[in-house]
Amino acid sequence: MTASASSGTPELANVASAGSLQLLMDKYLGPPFIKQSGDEYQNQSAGSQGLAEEIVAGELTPNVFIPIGAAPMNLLEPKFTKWAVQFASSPLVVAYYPKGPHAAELKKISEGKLPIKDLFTLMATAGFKLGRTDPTVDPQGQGFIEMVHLAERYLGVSAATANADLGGANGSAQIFSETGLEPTLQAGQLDAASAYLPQAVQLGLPYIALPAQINFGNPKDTAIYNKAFLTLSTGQVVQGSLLDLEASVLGVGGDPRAGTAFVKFLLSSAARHILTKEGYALLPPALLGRQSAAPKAITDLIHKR
Amino acid sequence: MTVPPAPAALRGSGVRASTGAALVGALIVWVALLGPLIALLAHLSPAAVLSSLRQPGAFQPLLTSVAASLVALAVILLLGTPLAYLLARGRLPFPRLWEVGVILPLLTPPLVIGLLLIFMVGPNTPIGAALSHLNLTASDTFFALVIAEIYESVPYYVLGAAAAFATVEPQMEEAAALLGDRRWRTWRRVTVPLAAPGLATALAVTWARAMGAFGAVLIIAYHPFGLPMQIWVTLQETGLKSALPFALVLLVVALPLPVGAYLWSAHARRRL
Amino acid sequence: MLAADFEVGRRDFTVGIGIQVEPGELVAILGPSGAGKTTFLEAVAGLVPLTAGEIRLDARRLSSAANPRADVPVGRRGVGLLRQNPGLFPHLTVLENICYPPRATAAVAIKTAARMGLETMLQTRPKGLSGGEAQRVALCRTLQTEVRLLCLDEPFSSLDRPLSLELLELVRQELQGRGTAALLVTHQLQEAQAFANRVAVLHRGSLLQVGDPRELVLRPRTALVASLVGYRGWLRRGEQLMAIHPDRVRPTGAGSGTGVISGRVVGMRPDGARIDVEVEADGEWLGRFHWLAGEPPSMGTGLHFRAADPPVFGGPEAVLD
Repeated sequence: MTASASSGTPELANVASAGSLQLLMDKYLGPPFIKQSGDEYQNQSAGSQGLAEEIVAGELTPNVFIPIGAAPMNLLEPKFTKWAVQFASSPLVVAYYPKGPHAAELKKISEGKLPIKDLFTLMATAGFKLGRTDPTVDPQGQGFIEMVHLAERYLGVSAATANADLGGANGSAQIFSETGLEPTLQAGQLDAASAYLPQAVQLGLPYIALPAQINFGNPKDTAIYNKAFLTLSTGQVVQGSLLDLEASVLGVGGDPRAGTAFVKFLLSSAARHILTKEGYALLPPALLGRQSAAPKAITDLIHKR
Repeated sequence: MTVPPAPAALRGSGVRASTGAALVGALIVWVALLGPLIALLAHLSPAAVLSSLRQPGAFQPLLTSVAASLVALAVILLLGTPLAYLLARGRLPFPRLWEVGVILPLLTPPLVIGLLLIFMVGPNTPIGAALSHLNLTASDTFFALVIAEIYESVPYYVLGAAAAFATVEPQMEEAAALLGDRRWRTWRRVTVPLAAPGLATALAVTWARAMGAFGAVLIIAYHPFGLPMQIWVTLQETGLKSALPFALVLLVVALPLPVGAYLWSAHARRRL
Repeated sequence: MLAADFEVGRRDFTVGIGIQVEPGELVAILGPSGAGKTTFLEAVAGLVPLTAGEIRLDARRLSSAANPRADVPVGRRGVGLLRQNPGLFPHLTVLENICYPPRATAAVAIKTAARMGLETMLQTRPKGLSGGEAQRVALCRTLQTEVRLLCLDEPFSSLDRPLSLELLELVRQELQGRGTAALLVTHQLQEAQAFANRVAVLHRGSLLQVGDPRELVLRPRTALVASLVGYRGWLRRGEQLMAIHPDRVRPTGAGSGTGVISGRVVGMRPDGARIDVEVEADGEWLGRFHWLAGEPPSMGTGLHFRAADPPVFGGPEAVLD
């Protein structure tokens, strides 16, 4: 029923999405949406936390917000939106450079020929070049630190090893901007780097999958994830949580019909097929927040399943 | 001594009108250039500035920026001056080729410079490996910050210095040689003093560029934070209001050197 | 003490000169523009390499075409060069300019400056100097080096005539006081004669004649030299060519014997306080002469005059370029 172009003038779906979703949004989801809805579409991808801050400050006015993780979305409640729909997750992996000095061992770990605990021992060795993103502005950066701490608890990694993994006293030398991390790994100037599974798939990078208990991608392990804490340099305390993809329609961006249409599109089977292909872990769509506040079109779609 | 009035041909209402139009045009451009600064000052309250600057570690990025830029400037001066002089004197074979080489980093977006630097001096490259023997890493370090700043600003110095050296007539240097000077003494006592006003303005521009370098820094030198990176991160962490004071700090710290250089240069030029 | 016998190839012709200058001698090279005068001085000063031959100063080889790498560098040859552009350093005062050479001392510099009349200008910058003053400073500056031979490349030609001659005299006295030899290059005969003991005539890179300043004018060896030293009138007598100098003719009665030239006045114009009279004979233009005494003749009148000892050329010497 909603397959053809919408009635009246085309509106703009103005999306703000997490940095790692850029390729997905621009190349794989955007064009089919435009074709299907006849609306205009525009996407801006950057660190989810930073985007949320800018929306709160009024510097950014998208009508669709798709962060990774609940924390950025929580910043916008209740003033900018009261609901969100969770539809996929983006588990953490460790991507590695296939021609580096440690590549052989990393490959064995990724194939299961060596225990996953060896990964952490390897990352702690002197001279191992690991890269990750900035925890103060990026959920992936936060997630990676929390992942290492969870590994202490659930994989028996020693505290000393965990500390060495994160660079010890010189931790900041491991921290790269999101723009810089992938090119540096791809150019072979890092041995391994934090990544989302979809990121590794889209970039064609070999990776080591992490156990569900520590990869922040499995909704059934949410309780475990919540046990990880991190205190940022700003003093803010961040709790570990599922790295899920949530979407919501924001009033400040105007054109609510187009915004809702895009979120609906995200939940369609066509979009979900694309998500799987690009490496995302599908989750059954779940409404978070105040369900009564969500548009009827969305709630209907969810309850139909 | 009275100044004679302008010749009749240069007076008259037609000339007055066009001079007036030129002035108005210049004023509009000047105000437009200052626009961002005016916006900055309009959005800042002294309270916001103080609270941002009182954060722990707020002064570290300033020190990092200044230190890295001074080092970058020193390296650029040392390595760029001979190149600029040879360019000005036309003593390089295939001069156009050399000029293109100097202009290329200027034409390359700083972000791209950063990406290419990974391939050039990253830890696993031949150059990077050689550097590591000297205990230097060109990735995410102070050293990397200096390199990024150098690449973003060196063309400004070389081109400006070459123009400055070109204003020194070769006859001056020839006269000095005829008087028995050795090359180095002529350089020190004639060439550099005569080129100094132009060199000063070239340095001023280079300094400003180095202090504000961002694109290449974002890629290869995220840490340690200089002021531009601090602004960027603070913007994402806590928003515009807390990031702007650092922008003001950047201006206040970066400005004195270029202003001083321009004033001195104008004064020195008048004496020649 | 200067023994130069060399060639420098140029685009249009080769400058090939063999000349010797004795200690303390002042030599002038006379020649029109483009004759190669500047190239000659530049070779002596070491600014251009030789394509043949060599230059020696006091038996020390300064330049040699055979081994250019062994040429003594500019500034250490004992040769000074004064050019039309004084080349003063604009950022230094007059005194600092004069003291610029590596071994200059302020005491000696000030004495030289005083002899040149510059003592009141020592703290001035070159910007505030007149052309003549600037050249005096340049001379002082050059003299602070160990100059055995001073080369002057028409340094005063941009100044007016009286000043130019005055400065030349100043230079001449200074040089004679020091016993320094000099090579002056000029296109004005008057300057050459005022300055030098010996004058050489240069034309398209070659020296045509060298000799006493007065003798050069009275006895030019070829018609070409005659044309370069001021002969303006030419008279063909069969195979021979007679050169007539405007300053060496006198009016005379008709038919007073041999050596009398008859012509007709075809033009007149003032030249300073004198009158220049243009004369034609047998349809041929004889030239312009100075009418020295009494009322000038009217147009079309017949004239007889006698030239004093006019040089006569035959054969190849009679070629006028």
